[in-house]
Amino acid sequence: MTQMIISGIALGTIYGLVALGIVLVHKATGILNFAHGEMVMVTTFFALTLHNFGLPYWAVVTGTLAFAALFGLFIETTLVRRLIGAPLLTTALVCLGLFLILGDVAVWIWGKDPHMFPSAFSEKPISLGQVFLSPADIGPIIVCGMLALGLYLFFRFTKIGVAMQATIDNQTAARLMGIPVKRMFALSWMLATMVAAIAGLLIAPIIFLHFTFMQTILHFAFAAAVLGGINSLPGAMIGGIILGVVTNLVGIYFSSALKEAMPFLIMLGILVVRPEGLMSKRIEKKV
Amino acid sequence: MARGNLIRYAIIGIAIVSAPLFLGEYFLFIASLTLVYTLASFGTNVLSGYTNLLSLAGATFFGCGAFGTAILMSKFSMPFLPAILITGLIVVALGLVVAIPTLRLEHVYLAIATLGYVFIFGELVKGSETLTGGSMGMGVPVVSLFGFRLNEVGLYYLNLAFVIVLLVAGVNLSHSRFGRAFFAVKNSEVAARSLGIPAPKIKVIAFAVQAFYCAISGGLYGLLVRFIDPSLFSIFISISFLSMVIIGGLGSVLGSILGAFFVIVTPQLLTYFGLTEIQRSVYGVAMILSLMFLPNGLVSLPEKLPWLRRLLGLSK
Repeated sequence: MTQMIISGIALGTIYGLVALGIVLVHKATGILNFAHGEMVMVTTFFALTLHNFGLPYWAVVTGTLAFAALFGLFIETTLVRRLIGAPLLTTALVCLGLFLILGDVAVWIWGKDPHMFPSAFSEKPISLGQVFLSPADIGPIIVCGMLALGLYLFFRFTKIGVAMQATIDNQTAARLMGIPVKRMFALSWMLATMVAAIAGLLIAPIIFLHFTFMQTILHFAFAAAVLGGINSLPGAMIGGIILGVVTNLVGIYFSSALKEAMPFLIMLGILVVRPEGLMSKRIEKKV
Repeated sequence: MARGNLIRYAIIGIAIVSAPLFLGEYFLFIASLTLVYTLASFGTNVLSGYTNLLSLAGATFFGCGAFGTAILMSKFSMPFLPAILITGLIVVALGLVVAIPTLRLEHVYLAIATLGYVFIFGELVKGSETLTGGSMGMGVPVVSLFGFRLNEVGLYYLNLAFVIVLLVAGVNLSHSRFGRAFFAVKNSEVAARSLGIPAPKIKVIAFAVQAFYCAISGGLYGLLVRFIDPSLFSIFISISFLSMVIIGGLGSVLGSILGAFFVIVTPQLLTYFGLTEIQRSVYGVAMILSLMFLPNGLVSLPEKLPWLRRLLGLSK
């Protein structure tokens, strides 16, 4: 039981991390990025290429983060910048188009075979009384916790972070205060893609790296984002953890079919009961 | 000019009706497939083009239509017409489960919740092996209508009949009170509400129309391909329905048909040139390009290109 809860939290932090990227982009630019999972996939494949060159793990991580930042910037400048203020239908469809393109690009470059991906953590379990903890479970939790703290400090205390927060809250006011709004948009995409890269580095060792490996997880991540509140960064993380634990427990005590349906059911439930999610404030619609 | 138009329409009509006479087996199959997809395309257009909502459940409704019709025909030995119509109604009910809670909210939530539908559909089909054959899939029985077993030509006319009936019904709907309400909700939900249009209800109706058209389309698709399995109804199908609408033309009947034609013919051409691998990205690029440079789709092309307008003999 305790074991399942811990591995649920580990899975959940990963869902939360993917959700975090989606929420970051949605909050900053109002775009529902259906291609986020594919962006995770592409950055992780890039990491695999670096690893196959024989680079040490820290160099792989650094290189992947740098690539992710450039990749996010590239997508922002070529596509997203033209879409600011466009209706949801247009922006979401462009992201779906990107979803198709990135899938094909990954197949051209890296093929259709599943790949093993190295883990940063050892497999050897640590025993704590009755409970055996695997570093593969604890590692992601620690990484996600540090990342969440880092993002919190970034948004709270750095000048750029505060400027981004201001842009998210009110674009016009931010522009009037002299904040370069466009640059902030670019920055939020770069940040989201870097978070995506970290998520990919944590997920790929657990399941095989494959060009469709993010599609199911994307579904979990969207459910997590809705559960926590589609505009709340801590909400994404908390939603992910709840989802991870609940699906794990349902998988044991009920059936695995129900487990697959769980994210959808939880999402519908929260939309009926509290549509703004657990952590978001209720938004009044302005006319 | 009116007489010129009449002649043009007559030629197109005769060509469509007599197509089985001069098309070979392969091209007839493509034509039938285009007709089948036209229904899904039009349904998606009612939701996305007329009402500006985004749903990713197209593939699920399409798949439910295909499996539902096949199961009712083979396991419950029901005749084809009641089977496909009952399936259509069941699918609408399934659609309402997700539509009613989400359509009161911002449009984002419909898009996300319907994404969930696509994923659980595959799991459900794989899980219920006795009915659907699981991931192995199931065969679809041959249709008999009025005592005749339908061959390829028969299926073409069956699809044509469905397209004509449902498109006429759909066009009438879009000119009715509901159609005007769809456009009002699209332009401004707040304004529509202040005029007394029950916006959530109108959105639910648009969603039900899409579910029904996709289900019928799926039922006919099953008859055409003769064998169905869950991998045929992935998220990719949902996106290709949306791409038909975007590429053909949002909010246009002719656009729905052109979009369906594009989505059916492109993979055939790519296969012919040995480029099967890039099929998805061709859709993706076409979607993005048309959203950016041709937001009203292929139907608006003659407006933009005078030479094409002259070629087609269109005035204005």
